[in-house]
Amino acid sequence: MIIGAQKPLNEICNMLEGHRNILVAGCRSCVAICLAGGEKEVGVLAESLRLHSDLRGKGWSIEEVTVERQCEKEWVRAMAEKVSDKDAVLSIACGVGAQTIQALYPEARVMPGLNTSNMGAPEEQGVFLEKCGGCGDCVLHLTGGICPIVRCAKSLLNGPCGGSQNGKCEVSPDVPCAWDEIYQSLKRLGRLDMLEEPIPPKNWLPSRSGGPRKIVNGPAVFSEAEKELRGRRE
Amino acid sequence: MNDKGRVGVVICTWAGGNPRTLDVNSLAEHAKTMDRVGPVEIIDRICSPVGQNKLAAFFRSGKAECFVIVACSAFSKETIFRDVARDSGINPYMVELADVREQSAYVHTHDKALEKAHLIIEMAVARSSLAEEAPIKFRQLRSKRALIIGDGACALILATHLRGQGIEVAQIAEGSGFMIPDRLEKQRQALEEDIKRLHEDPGFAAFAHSKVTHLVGRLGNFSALISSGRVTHAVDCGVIVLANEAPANSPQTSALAPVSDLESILVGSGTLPMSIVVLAENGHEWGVDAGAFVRGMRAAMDFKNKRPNGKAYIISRDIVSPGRRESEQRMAQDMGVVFFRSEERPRLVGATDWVLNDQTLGDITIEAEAAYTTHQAEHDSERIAKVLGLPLAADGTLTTLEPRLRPEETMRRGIFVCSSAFKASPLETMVTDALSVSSRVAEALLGQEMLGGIVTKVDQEKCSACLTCVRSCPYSAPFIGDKGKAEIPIEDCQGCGICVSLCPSKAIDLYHYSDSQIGASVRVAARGGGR
Amino acid sequence: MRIIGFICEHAGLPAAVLAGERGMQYSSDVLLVRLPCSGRVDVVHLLRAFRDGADAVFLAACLEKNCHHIYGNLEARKRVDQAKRILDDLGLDGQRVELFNLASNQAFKFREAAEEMVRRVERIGPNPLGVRK
Repeated sequence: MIIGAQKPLNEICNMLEGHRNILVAGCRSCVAICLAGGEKEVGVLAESLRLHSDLRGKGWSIEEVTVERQCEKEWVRAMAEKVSDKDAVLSIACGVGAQTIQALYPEARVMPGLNTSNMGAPEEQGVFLEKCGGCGDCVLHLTGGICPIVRCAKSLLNGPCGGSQNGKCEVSPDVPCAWDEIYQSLKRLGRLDMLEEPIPPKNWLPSRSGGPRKIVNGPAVFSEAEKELRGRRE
Repeated sequence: MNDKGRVGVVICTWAGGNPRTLDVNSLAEHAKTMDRVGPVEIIDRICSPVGQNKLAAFFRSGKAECFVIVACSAFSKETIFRDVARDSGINPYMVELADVREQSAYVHTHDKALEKAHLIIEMAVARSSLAEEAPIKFRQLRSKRALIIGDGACALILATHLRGQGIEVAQIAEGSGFMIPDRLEKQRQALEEDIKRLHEDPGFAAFAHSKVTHLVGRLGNFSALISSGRVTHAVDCGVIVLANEAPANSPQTSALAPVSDLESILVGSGTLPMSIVVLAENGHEWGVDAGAFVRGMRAAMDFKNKRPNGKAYIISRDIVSPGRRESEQRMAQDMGVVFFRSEERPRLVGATDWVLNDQTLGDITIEAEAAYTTHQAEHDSERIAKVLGLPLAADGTLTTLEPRLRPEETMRRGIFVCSSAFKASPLETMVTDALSVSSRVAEALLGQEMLGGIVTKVDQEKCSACLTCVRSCPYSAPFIGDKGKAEIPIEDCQGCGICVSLCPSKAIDLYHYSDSQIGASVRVAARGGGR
Repeated sequence: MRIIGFICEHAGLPAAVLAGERGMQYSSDVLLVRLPCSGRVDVVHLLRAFRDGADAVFLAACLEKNCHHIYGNLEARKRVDQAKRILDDLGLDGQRVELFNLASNQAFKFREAAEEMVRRVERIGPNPLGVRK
């Protein structure tokens, strides 16, 4: 899922300077699960902001809202009443959620309370590790189920660099060397032969480097003509 | 949601203290001015039978939907008041307790006490006006079998008592069956007859050379996995009792042998030394308790019986021979056993000399051929505690529910413990302990169980299925159900509220301690009353 | 002065009641809120107390490694630490909130906790928000 962490309170307070009617908006999806932007965090942040406002006589009015997924138009539309009288919407969902609110409420001043970071998974409660590089051309079958794009600091595709020591990346002794992990995994699977065939230079077009991506799921989409037949539902 | 109901306030005449320092009439007058408060009544000694009847009448009067009882300290009286509520047709968790006596009357000077008492009542009224009917259900137990883990004398006595009450018993023994320790040699014959009777009893089943490896379930509905070598059995039971004895031969320093070694020699195997010193200690930093002391004393007396000219010394921090054992100790002294009391643990100098500072005689050195200690290593409590899901105290011993009032119960409902077993206490202590445990077990098994009350409520619409509650519950109560959302059965919830505080999507709340109730009472307290 | 003490069912509450039974005197500015376990406490409850004008807030929980609910007091410690950080960030001073571990029969520790918080308020000063109505 998407992993993010809240911005420091002082940074958020600075962002909100000059505003009065503020809506703190959370999400029940990824950010709730990584303990950064769910209804609970919305409550704690709102309470902190109210204290800040009272202590400094800012006169802020803080409201709270949390939706199922802040990236879905239907749910974000349901927030309309709460957004209507606000001069700032502080989203603590991921960057997608914040942008969805902005897109649906062009007049609203949307601010990010969260630093969206990566696609990862909980290692244990409260500890989240980056796992997937979103490169759009997955080779996990060749690397024993370990992503070389994002778990290797250099995104190498064919074995470790010279900095790999005792299974650790030279970036930090806490970071495992992905290629060491890949080797161990392929060994356990009895597929070290995968390493004999080099992975060719990567085509980065499907990744972020190729520009903002759009994926169209053919069967789910109606053409204009088909929409006419179906009757507009937008 | 109870947002329209009136709050009925009942004030006990003793709420103001005994002797009375606060005037309950003024408390009543103030209560009448509070928002949401309907009827206010003063009742004399609410916890007395007469008082309880009046309380019941107040509950039944229909003039209020939720109630505040202004009285003395909560926990000792609460169950009584809740039972009265239930009998009067009121959900027991619509009743709130305001402790004005111990939190105000007794601890503050008059004017301050009165002001604070008003606040305490206001806080309770605020909580009460947000009360909800907590879910309660009664359940028949599915299994009434008792599983005893242990193979010593205590387990044997317990099994006999439970069978005597008609309770089916299954026993898990690490060894080949019941083992009677050497120190109970005199009672061996009687105990062996008990063993024989049990093995002929169809209501008794024994699993020899076995260990419990896994446990799920709850009181009345446990399922234990028993591993006996290569075979695994699944045994259903209603309760579990821990009654394992410490292993006979505990690892010791080379100078000190466990007293069980001496006990073995005394029943016939091995040569008796010419002189012995016994350190009577219970392993907690040179501490001593009756069990350890009496055991050491009896071993020394048996030694003197066998070797009247031999020297027997007992060193302990204190003389602990309560009750009838005082005359036993007098007898030991007459036999020539010498008792020393030393604040510090005695030191060994050379191979046989023990140096100590006796409280009366000062510095002394004793020479003894053999030295023993009554301290035994704890039995495998860590492993067992883990399998059964029981917490251990800081020193590695099993925590009991309430050391003084409920020492037979562990923190997990349905699992009991016979602590005299692993302390290798004297026989009479084990008998008392076993009797006590068997009555608790019978009480637990022969009644219906009331479940619920202060338990969680999950709003599945808000649940993100993030697994936080599943991971954080000390009792493993929550699980993700068929609908892909968290469910917390009221049978398993112990009402600690940890998951409520952690849930990232605020999907869980706790009856009787809901966020709004806590918030309301904090608000009243912080603002000093009023709105 | 206004000090809120959150007392847990198995340690804080019996200790407070015992203090009462023994007639141990402490500041009447201390008001107690009962919890089933210290782990029930929510950061929002702690922050809200300050917004409502409390000068200090404390928790009385079971001794470490001896929580009746096994590790509720560990969770409570984390909530208190979280609240301290937020109070420090806001300039309110994290010293205003504290967790005390005690056993159910340690009435003296309960009183010490209450008195310690009174001392802290005297040292740091009252809640700048003053009395809120």
